[in-house]
Amino acid sequence: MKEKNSELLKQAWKEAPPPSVLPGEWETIWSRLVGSPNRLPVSRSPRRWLQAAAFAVVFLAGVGFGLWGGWLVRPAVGPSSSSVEQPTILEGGSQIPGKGTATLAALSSTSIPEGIDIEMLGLRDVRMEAVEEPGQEGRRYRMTAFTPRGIKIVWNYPADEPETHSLNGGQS
Amino acid sequence: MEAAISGAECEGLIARARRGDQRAWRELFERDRERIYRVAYRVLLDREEALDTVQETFLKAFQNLHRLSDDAGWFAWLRTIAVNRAMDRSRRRGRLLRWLGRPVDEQELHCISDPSGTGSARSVAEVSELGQALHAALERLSPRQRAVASLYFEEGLSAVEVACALGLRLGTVKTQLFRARQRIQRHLEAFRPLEELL
Repeated sequence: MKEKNSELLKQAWKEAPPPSVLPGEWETIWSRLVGSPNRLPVSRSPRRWLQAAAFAVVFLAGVGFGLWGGWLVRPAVGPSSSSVEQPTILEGGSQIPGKGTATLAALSSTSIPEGIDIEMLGLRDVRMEAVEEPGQEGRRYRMTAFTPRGIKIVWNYPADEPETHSLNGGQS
Repeated sequence: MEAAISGAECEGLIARARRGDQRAWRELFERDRERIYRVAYRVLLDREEALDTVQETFLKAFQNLHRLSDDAGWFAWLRTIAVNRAMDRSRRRGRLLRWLGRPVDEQELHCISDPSGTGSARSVAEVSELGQALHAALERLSPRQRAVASLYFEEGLSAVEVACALGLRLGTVKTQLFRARQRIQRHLEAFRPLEELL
């Protein structure tokens, strides 16, 4: 009886062959073996593809979220270099014409105590351009700069009534 | 059953493959791919996973050919790689389902990876009722039991050879074999009485 059962078992194995494999599928496996001898070949099973796709989606979502978060918390000061013409940087507050006016303009919007000089205001991106006005004697300049808090201040030199502009276009 | 070509020819092929001869690799691949696929399929019961295992097995074998000390033992070495990789895959599959919080059922595992139940490229008519019964029985075995049973019943190895191939103790192999045989026979009896078959 034991022998008969063993025979039955062997017969059952013969009658349950694995699913057949097409020649083209063997070729695909061979080409992967030859094409990538030093690394694991690409998997054929759908689950692997799903895992790879899921990883790609999570990775891209992470990158996107990071970029979005970075955009949200970007420093809210100063213009980007691409949106403003290259300014003429004047180093040293003493060399900036009309600095008294600029101090006044800055005080009006940044609540800095009176008496603080322009060097201490930390003005940056100071720009100076000549203004041609008919009938006006001498050269006049239009000065622009940004306070540390991103307030754009504009004044004329020689001294004029100061005006300030915030970065988002507001005016005070 | 072990090889269709002579041992000397096989050893010559391996020597050429070791020197980087791609044609020798190809001959070895064409010679043994079907048998490796069959062994892997018996453990995994999944066509695509078995083909993946064939791919990984040959890749690993080609990359580690310098470690094969006895060229005559090429196929046994290859088969051991295949069975171990197939069992690893099967365990990973089980871990995946456990991680997903689902009960691990071999039949369910098989249905997930192969919804048709009998393999995507195989017609139902190709497999007899007895064959289907065996397939159903194998689904109820552990990957290790399937490996032991496949090497013993299908590959025709002795218990000692199975133990060597899988790196198991002889006692363990005998126990696994006994349990596998019991389960398979129970299934075969349920599908088709032994008296009718013999």
